[in-house]
Amino acid sequence: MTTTTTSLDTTALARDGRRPTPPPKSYWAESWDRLRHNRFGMAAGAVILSFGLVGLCAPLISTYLTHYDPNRQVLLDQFDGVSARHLLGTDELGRDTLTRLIYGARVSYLIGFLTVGLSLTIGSTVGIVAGFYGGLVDRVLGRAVDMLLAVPTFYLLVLIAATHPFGLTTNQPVPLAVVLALLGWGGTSRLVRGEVLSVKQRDFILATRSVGATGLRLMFRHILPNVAAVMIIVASLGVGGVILAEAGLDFIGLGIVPPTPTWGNMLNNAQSYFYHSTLLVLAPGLMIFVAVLGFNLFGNAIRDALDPRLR
Amino acid sequence: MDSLPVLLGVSVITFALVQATIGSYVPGLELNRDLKPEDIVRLRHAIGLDQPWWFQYLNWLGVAWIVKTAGLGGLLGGYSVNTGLLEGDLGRSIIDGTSITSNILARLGYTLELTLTAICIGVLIAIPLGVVGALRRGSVVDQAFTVASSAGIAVPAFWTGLVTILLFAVLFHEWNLPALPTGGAESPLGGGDPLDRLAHLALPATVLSFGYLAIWSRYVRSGMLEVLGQDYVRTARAKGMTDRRVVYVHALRNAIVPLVTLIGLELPGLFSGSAIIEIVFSWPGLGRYALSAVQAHDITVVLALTVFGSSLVVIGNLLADVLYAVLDPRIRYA
Repeated sequence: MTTTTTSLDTTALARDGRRPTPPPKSYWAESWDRLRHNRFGMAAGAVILSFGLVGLCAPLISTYLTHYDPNRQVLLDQFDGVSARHLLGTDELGRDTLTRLIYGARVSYLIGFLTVGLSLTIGSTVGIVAGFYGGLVDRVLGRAVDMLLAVPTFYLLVLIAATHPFGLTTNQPVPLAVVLALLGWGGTSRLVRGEVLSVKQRDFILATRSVGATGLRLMFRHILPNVAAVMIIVASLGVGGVILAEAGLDFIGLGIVPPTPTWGNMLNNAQSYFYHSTLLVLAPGLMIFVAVLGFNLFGNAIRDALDPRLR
Repeated sequence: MDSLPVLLGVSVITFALVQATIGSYVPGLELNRDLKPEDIVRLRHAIGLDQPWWFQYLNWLGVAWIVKTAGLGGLLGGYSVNTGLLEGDLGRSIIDGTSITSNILARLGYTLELTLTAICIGVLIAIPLGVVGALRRGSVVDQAFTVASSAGIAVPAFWTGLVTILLFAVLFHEWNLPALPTGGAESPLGGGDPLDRLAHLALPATVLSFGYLAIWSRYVRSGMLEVLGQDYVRTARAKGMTDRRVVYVHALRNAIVPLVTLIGLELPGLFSGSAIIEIVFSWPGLGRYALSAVQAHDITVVLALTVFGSSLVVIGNLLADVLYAVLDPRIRYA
């Protein structure tokens, strides 16, 4: 339908010696184009996607490819090195390291995505409500965020691991994700609130309000889509940090505990066997490193695509 | 003075968390299941667990005397009034009864020694790295620094710790090279001289500094790039100054202002940022104290550390604000 105008524009611009204007695209399509052309970012995306797929198919892989159950102990095969039977060797109980690493990906991904999802939900809701209503509501919620950010997360996690409030434990994946989300939404809410403060000033909000839209409708039908970009950026940059923090908790024994294999608790275990196997120390850390690096680089690519100003 | 209500809120919430767990605690019950009821009453009375929760809270804060002063002495019902947080008394360990304040003071020095050394290493290396990256923007060296910095942010510090132990202690030992110590702050026997302390400090402080280095060098680089494009730098060059003098005297001074702010923001992290490294290297600081407390279910110690850490964060933020205003006079706090 825009053929006539487009061709007109094209000839006009061609005479100026500039490139012809491409047909108009939506913000999201433009962002996707930018992301698609970021080869580095797409490579990082491919890495985290393949880690995720391998983790998702862990039961299939352990049955048909590695032929070991992650917790199957063969005491005759203690500390095996790299071999055709055990591609990455075995640990002190003769368990296959590769299979355990693959199962470890499941825990890291589950907690990474669940935590970010929950903390995004809490953080954006609080941020939107605080930014939209302002005044007393904003002050009270802001003070709550101050409190959350004032307590060093490490000590708060230790306190929760010691007290189990509301039956929340830190050694099961889902409760741990809930705990991490409950402690981690402060930063998100601040960012979203700031964005809401600016969106709220725009004319279309005034127009919507003047035709009688209620507060709830304004917040979630009109403001939310306009702060979605910030939310996606925060979320995609957050997963790596959560995976890192969760691995740290497993490592010091306050997170997921054996026999469930995770990268963090495998490293904790490896501490006792420095002299028996180098691979036990190197492999799980390398997995954490590659996964976190992948999520961080992909998060950067998403940020660059959605908000080129931030570059 | 926004920070006082924040701290008060933190104290209420953390105290409530602990109160929910500690309610029915009987000291020593796990050692002797056959304690007589009157002994249970006596033991709980000895550590004040028979007091109502609000009185315990006031006592913990160290303001329980208010109840007496307010003429409500009848409410006390024979409960003892003791000193608390406001007088700098963080309470007693519920496991061994030792004073938490003196336990913290005994370990604080070690934590500060570790974090301050790491910050110094971080600054000393971040500045040259950032300057070189900015001066040779886009070169192979600059790109290598960029990659190294992304890697430094993504690598788990505790794993770097394990790998350095593996290399400098285990493998060096196998290769008959002089191995570095990997546990504690000094040798248990005959240690404690400066050289011994330094050897123990080397690995944990270096590993801890990587995290700072990865972030700070980026800030120096972008600060330097911004400053190098400004008019006064061009003026300095036009006056015929040597390149070195322009870069290191005129530009660098302004380029590291954001870094000073970042270091200021790192002040709260002085006390908790090193926790996991302390655990890897058995460093006798606060982080390791917190972990051993949670392993021993020493809940009052965990509570005290949380409140202590939060106070330091709040004080650290105040200091960072002041520092920021001093460095950049355009910033004014009402």
